[in-house]
Amino acid sequence: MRHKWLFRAQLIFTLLVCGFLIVPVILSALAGITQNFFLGIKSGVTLHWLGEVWQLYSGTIYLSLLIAIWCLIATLVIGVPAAYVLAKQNGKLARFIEEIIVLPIAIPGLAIALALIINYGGFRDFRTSWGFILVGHILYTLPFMLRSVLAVLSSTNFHELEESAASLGASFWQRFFTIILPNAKSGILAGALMVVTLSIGEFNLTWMLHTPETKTLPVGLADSYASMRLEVASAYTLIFFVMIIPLLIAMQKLSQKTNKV
Amino acid sequence: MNPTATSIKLTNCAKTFADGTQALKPLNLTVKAGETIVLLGPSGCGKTTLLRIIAGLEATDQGGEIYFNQQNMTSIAIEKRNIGMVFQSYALFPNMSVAQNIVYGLKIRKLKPQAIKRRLDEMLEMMQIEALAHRRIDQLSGGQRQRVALARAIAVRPNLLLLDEPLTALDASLRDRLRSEISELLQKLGITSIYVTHDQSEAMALADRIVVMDKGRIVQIGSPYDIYHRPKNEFVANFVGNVNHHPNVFDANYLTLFRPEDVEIVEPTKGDFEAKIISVLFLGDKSRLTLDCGFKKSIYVDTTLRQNFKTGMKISMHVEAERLIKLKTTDNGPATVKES
Ligand SMILES: Nc1ncnc2c1ncn2[C@@H]1O[C@H](COP(=O)(O)OP(=O)(O)OP(=O)(O)O)[C@@H](O)[C@H]1O
Ligand SMILES: [Mg+2]
Repeated sequence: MRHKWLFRAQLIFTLLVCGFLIVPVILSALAGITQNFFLGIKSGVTLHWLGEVWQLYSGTIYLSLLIAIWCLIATLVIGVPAAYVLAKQNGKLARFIEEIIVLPIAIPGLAIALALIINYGGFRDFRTSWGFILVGHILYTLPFMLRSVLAVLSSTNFHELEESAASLGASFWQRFFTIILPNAKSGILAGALMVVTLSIGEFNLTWMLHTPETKTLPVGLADSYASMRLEVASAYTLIFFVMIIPLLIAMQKLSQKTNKV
Repeated sequence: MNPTATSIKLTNCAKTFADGTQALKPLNLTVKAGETIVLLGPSGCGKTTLLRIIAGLEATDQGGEIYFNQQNMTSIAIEKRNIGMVFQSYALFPNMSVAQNIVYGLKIRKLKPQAIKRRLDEMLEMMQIEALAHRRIDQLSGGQRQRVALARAIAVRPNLLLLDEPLTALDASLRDRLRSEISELLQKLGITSIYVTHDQSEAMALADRIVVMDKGRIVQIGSPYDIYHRPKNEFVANFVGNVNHHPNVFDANYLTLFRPEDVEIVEPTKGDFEAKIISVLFLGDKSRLTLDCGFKKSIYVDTTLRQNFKTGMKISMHVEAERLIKLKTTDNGPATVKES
């Protein structure tokens, strides 16, 4: 009997918390397709605001996607080999390097941005290109890729797998592509989703690094919140959700799958 | 014998790890073509290290050299040595099926698809794992994994087969069955093989010659028969079976030992010595008696006599002179044995 009560109380509490979190999201999403937010949904449903957002801000959406893709490529090219090397070495130096690469997780984005501006802000062409934002994103997301790949590598006995592939005649590159990469796949995939999600949603760093010519989606969002009609800002948010939620769901699915194995 | 079988020669091979551990003292070893050698010794004596040096997974210290058929392989990488290797934990590739695992080395060698298919079928049949060909590795039992690992190592027709405690992870009955299967397989294939174990019965069953190791050294090399009946020193005698110190033969220069199964239980007047039974372990086919003859060390006796031995009984014993193991006492330190 007591168990039943406890269960009900917990359920109600959980639902309340969920509601508290989700109601504003739903309202905001609805606002993006309402004629007039102050009159409410009965004023009619429209795609007008979405169209307006597209006109004003489609550039920021493209730029966000572009940066996310390059950021993904860079973190794959740097992060996967780096994780492999770090997993293979177990000396003090390797652990030290790992700490250094992982450091950006602990440093506020604003500080990373400031450091970048102080050091490289002088190179005008670089400073004003989206490459400047990209570098910030790579610094910020690389630790997540590295950690994720390191975790799978250290959970499989890949060292022995590699030795047995070598005994069968496989050269280093053959081993890397036929043994290491396929066995690290789940970690690489999880890392990749994380990198793309973080890059698309990144605001702190990007806000410091952007120029009026190089606005990403979240920076554009902040801009619209400050200066546009509430409906436009909401429609913009809706677009952001549509982009980011599939990524989050994929990430969740993937981590469920790897937990099961 | 397999015509492609390779002879192995190691000269002066030692191994000092980066942290300063000297896992192997400089040693020499010759393995004849087609021979099965078992490296036997207690944990930490350097068996795996020696095997990895032969494989090319570790480099020997300066001065050591490795020859396959007169050809110096010392600086040749493992992937160029054409060996087959079976690891204690099998090291099967989890991203591939059983069949893909077996043909991995053949694909690397760029064999024609038909040749690969033929070799795969041959291996599956030889190891009796046809039904498992399309299974994933994590759907196999320990014994099945072991067969796949063997098939994968043999499929490439290696010059040399290296096995590092391949049966240790299996339970006892499966271990016995696979042991005799491996023994048959090695005979049939005639590949030069080096097998690492710390289990003396495994070594006896498989080896043409046993290499007994201790603390990074080779202590004795010989046939299983020689190792058991003519051990070089007390360490070897003890490691491959039980031995007793003779209670009433005293010689400053010799140590006189005998094995529990070489004792005859005789009439009280005809014995060399007598002792009191401390405990009786009835094993069905034989009884193992532990006896006290007044020394610190007890004496163990195995007997097949159908007699109901009781604790506290006194019995008389005799050991035939040719069954005594006589060791020069100077040989009882950690011996350095040069291979003849
Ligand atoms: N990479 C290494 N670095 C430092 N010391 C090592 C390394 N590998 C092995 N050793 C040491 O070298 C010695 C011999 O090790 P090895 O693995 O060859 O023993 P083993 O005879 O195979 O033992 P076991 O039966 O337990 O497998 C041990 O003292 C071990 O601790
Ligand atoms: Mg070992």
